[in-house]
Amino acid sequence: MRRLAIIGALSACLLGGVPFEAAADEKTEKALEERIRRLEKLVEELIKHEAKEAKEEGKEKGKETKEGEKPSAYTFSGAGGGRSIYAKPFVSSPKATVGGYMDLQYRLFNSSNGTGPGQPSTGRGSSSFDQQRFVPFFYSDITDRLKVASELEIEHGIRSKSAQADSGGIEVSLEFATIDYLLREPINFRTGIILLPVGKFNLLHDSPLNDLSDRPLVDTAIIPSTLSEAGAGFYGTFYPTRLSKLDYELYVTQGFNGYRTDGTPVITADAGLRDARQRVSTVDDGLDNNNGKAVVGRVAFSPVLGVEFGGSGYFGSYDPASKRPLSIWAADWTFQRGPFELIGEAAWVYARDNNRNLDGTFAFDANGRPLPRRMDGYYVQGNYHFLPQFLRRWAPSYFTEASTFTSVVRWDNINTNSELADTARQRLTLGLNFRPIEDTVFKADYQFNFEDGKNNRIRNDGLVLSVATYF
Amino acid sequence: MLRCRAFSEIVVTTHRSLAVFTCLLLSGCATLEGKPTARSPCPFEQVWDTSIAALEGVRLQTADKAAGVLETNWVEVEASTQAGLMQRDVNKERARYVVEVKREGTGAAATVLQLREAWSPMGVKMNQWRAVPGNPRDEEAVAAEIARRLKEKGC
Repeated sequence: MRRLAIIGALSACLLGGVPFEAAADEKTEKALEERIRRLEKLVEELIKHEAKEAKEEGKEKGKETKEGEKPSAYTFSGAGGGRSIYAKPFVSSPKATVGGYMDLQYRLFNSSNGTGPGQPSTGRGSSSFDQQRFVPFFYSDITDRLKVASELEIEHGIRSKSAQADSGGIEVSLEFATIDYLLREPINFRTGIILLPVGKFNLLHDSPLNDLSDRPLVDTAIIPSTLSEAGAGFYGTFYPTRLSKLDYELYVTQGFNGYRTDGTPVITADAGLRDARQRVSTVDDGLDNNNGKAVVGRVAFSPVLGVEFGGSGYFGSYDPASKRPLSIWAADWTFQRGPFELIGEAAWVYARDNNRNLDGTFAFDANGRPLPRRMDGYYVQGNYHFLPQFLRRWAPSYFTEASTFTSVVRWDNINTNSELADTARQRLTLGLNFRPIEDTVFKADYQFNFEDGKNNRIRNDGLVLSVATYF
Repeated sequence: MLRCRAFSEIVVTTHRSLAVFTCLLLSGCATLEGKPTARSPCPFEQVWDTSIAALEGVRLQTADKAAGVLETNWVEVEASTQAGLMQRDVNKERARYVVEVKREGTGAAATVLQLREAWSPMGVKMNQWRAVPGNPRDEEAVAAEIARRLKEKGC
């Protein structure tokens, strides 16, 4: 490119001064020929010069490598000085992708009352801005078969220190960090901190992917997303028929931790399974509380594009003696046809003997209710995607081919102690969102929150405005 | 007696579930109706061979002549979307073709279907390829290529 520019400039200099009228002149013709010869000579010299430069650059690179800056030599013995940081694959590899997503929401509610386990709140007031999630992620194609993927979550990142006594600081944790070794399409190996395949929502929980601001109740209390655990296993895809697809994931993981070190139970009707997750269990430093490991898997079958049914299960033990099993069963569905979409998920939990303390006595929560052994819940959501054509004509730079509006209606129902009636919650959410591009969304939702089937038993209906984007 | 009744109920329920599942599974075997088709008076064998030739450059995964089905391996194609707010070109798409060759009177017809999957390094999307609609223009192009080659053969 540079060479062409130089040639162009030289040509302009050499030929530019020739008057048009003199072209017919024989003398001028000779002069022109002479100038062309000179030009050709110059081009030849230029090519030689460039080749020489390239050779010298190569030598320099070789010299640097000899001096210990070889990018692949990032080992304990080989990495020396500050420069070694550039040998890390994510910085030097063109196959690495660094990105992230973030969201911000404004919540305006009837009161400061909560809306469910793991659901965002408004603090002491009834309205609040909340930068809930800032999630950088890193993806690297190490080789064709070896991939590393990770998401680092910073929740409510504005704080430098959390007010929660047992949180140990602000919430920064790896949502997932996996090493995949691809064998064949039907079977691949995955290890690391794995996003557990319990239901579909947990696997697709990123804010920019979802059409409503708040997660479904079943996916914060019953399947406490984001639910990830350290472990290893296999995943793959089969294509049973011409148009169908069957995906599966199967892992062995660490398991839930249902008790604090003093034996206080953490699986309660108020918190659901949230506080028993490995990623929030501070008492065992993220390590296992027993010798039992959990098995988790999901099978999803799609007979045709736009239709999918999933079934998943989790089975492990949650007590220190590994005598109390905990199981989660979930079913999920997706139907898409044209602009319409119907999605949903249902889940059931059984935590054997959670209504008893570790010493065998009956266990009650602060409200005097027995602790839950069973929980259940579901959500059903309908989406309609549209973009009025007059908007595209009116402002084509704002409303492109990739832009879309989505109107959403969702019904949530959970019971965090299925043996009682007053632990049930329902929610109706109406929403409208706009995506200028697929990966960025502005959402407006209104929630009607019901307790025990009664709206406004607790005044906690409210408006949520939010924006979320991948970047 | 009660146990017998419970058992028969389980059997009936299982049969119903199996029937529903089979229906769902079979719906995956749906025909390629409405997909671009290259029709020719050429005999089946010639249309079959031409279809294979038209898929040059893509490795065949299945070539079941008795069933008249050709399936290619996945091949990476240009992504139709860009990633994130910065609209980066890091998304990937892959496609594979299914060509169904059927006898039609003395001639034959080759119908083309493209299966397409997308992947993005954005967040949880990095964990899996997901199915997306095939590109009708690509399907038409393959069908047109088969038709062109058959026409060249002059039958």
